[in-house]
Amino acid sequence: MGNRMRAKKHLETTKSASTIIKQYYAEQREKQSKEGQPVAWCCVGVPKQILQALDILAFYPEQYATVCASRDASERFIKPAEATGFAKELCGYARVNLGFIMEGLPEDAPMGGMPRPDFLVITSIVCDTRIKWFELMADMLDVPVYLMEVPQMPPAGRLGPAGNNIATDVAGIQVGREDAPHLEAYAMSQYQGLIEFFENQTGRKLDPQKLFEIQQASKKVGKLRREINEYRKNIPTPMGAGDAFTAMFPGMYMPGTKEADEFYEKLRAEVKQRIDSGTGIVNPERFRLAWSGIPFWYNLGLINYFEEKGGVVVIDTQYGSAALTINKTTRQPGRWGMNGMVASVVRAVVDYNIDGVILSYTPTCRALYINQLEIKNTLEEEIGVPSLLLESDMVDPSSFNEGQIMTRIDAFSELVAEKAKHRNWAAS
Amino acid sequence: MAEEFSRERELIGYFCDFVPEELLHAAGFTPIRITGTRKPVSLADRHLQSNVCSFARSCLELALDGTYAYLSGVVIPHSCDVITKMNDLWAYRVKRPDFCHYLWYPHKVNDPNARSAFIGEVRRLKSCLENLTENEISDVALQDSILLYNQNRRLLQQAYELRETNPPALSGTEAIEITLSSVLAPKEIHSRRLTRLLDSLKAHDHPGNARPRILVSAGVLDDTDLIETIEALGGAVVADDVCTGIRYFWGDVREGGDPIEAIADRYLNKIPCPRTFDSTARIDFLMDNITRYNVQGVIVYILRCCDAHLFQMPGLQERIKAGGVHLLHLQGDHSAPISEETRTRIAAFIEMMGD
Repeated sequence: MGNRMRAKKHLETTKSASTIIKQYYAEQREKQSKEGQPVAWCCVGVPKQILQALDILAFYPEQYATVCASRDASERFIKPAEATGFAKELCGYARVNLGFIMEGLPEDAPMGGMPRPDFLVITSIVCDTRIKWFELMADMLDVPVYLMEVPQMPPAGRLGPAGNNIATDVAGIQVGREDAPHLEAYAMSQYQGLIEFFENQTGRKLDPQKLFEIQQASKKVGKLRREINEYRKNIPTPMGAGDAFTAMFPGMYMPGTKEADEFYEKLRAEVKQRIDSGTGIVNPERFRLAWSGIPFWYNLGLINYFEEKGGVVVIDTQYGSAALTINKTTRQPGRWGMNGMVASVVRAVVDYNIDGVILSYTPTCRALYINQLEIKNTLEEEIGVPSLLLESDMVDPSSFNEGQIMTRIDAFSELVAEKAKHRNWAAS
Repeated sequence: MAEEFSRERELIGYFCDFVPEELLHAAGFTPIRITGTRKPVSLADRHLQSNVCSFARSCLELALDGTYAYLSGVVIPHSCDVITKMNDLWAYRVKRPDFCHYLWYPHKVNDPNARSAFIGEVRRLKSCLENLTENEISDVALQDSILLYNQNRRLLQQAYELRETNPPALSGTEAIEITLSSVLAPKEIHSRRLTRLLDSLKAHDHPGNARPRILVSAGVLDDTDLIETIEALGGAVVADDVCTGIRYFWGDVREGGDPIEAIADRYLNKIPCPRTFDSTARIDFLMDNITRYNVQGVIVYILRCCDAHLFQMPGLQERIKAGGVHLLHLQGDHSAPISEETRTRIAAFIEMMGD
């Protein structure tokens, strides 16, 4: 694939993201060698603030798999995992990490690899696959694992309206329903259990005041990111998904730090300045796209390919836009259920003035790939928006069929560019 | 058959083996397991791509083509990422039945807090069923249903015991026919017929040649095709690790005390699906059954893309082989008949064991 498919960053601030990521990993490395420094491997969704308050060094295997993929190193670990009998249809993130463990956690891996953990922490809010994958890693590494189980319910009613969600503010997660208070109680017990697990493993006591301060501080990053996403609705958009994927690391993994706050403040200023000067990603901006699903991390440059045709991927619906309610569809937006996902994409299309949607079909990710056809159907049936299903794994480059994908993208771009001439979301 | 049953008593369909059937029965319904077919999928293609779990696709196909229109309700548990989505699809794309209930089921089945939460979920299902029928479900009705279902479990256990002998008094094909009819038929009828069958089997000798003794490990097995194929090729399937087989009926509900708690405990303590966090009990149980049934070879049949089974596969393989037992791993596909290639591999496996 070579360099051609590496992501091209348009914004100066995003270009500096890789320095921040490198610094972050360097600091982590320095810290991990300190005597008595506890190290955890976690999955996204584990409340970072508790880890920070207890000074536990956290590494994220799924994020690490994307690091390997974007540095052409994922195959090195996928191969030994498959040779041991882990099927090719298993989660790409999992195969990279299982292989990394089998290879003995090599330090010459990208970013110096991840250090041996003292324990693993996992939550059920992302997918069921992670539970099996982390359980297996804990077994291979011979370390304890804690599962913070968070029950999730579909909204009440057949089509999902009026689901009165109970939010557990502290954990920042959404569980249960009014008719299922037992599930909210369980989620809280799991959160308490997580704190006890950390305290037992590290011999440290959580300082509630310190946790509160970290929680307060980490709110800022979320607010800044939402604000930036609002600006992206502008025509022409000041920032597309290509830059946004690169820019998501500090928000996802470094909330509450000065570096993350400064990074997004700078990004916000640059985005505003681009709006003021009318600077888009392409000029003229012929058509606007949304990206649904996980990007192909070894091939982020695919997103820039549309720019050659005058198109821009304005928003991604997995990490980018946060949807609340909408009247455009019979279903209500939500984070994880299929119907909620469908409605979130419809909402993003209307809000961001989108002409077509790219559906990344990552066949090893059960939780996401299963939604994609329903998203495609609904976009066509309910709002007449074309979409393109692109099939490839998120970290395994051997699954990418370049010739076929490019041909389909070319045809789709023509279709969407034509459609964009009659775009009229404001009137609908 | 199902339509015939539905004239006697309304039917409620459910996925997987975590949904408390006793409760559905006490509410006045006959619970039946949602299963698929090996027919090619066409209607479901529009909603689930061909590389999504072939069992889920097949079940959706039957829901969309109206096969399941006789159901008065459907209960979908939190099993895995894919089955969970059956709730969304059923609720939105399948017009009938109106009653579409999602039942949360924990991963941490051994956690006391998860137990309280699941008891809450079983109580929530109870009140939703009461709203549907406009009838209260009494403790007496629950106790009666518990006895009915336990009786069937004990009969199935007796049937499986007949397979411990060499040659087995009950073939693998007959055994899967018995368990499959149990997940699909009213227990009142099933237990009556099974009692008669067991009496006649115990009264006769079962001569025959000793054949390689095989345990089949699979996720869901909702037809007899695989086991029939193995036996036609000369193997004797004497045991299984299947959620429509031994995992379905193993473990009774406590008779006495609070019936809802007793029901919840049974479904938490059952032999787990590999989807469950800390599901080593499944593998321990499988290993015990290798000894109990004097198994020489294990055939593992995993549907493509079934993460929960696939993650455990290398470890399971190691444990089985360490015990000196042969192992054959087949990739399962629910949407097609048993392929010629699969037949050849099974034949070679049986031949090797016969040597």
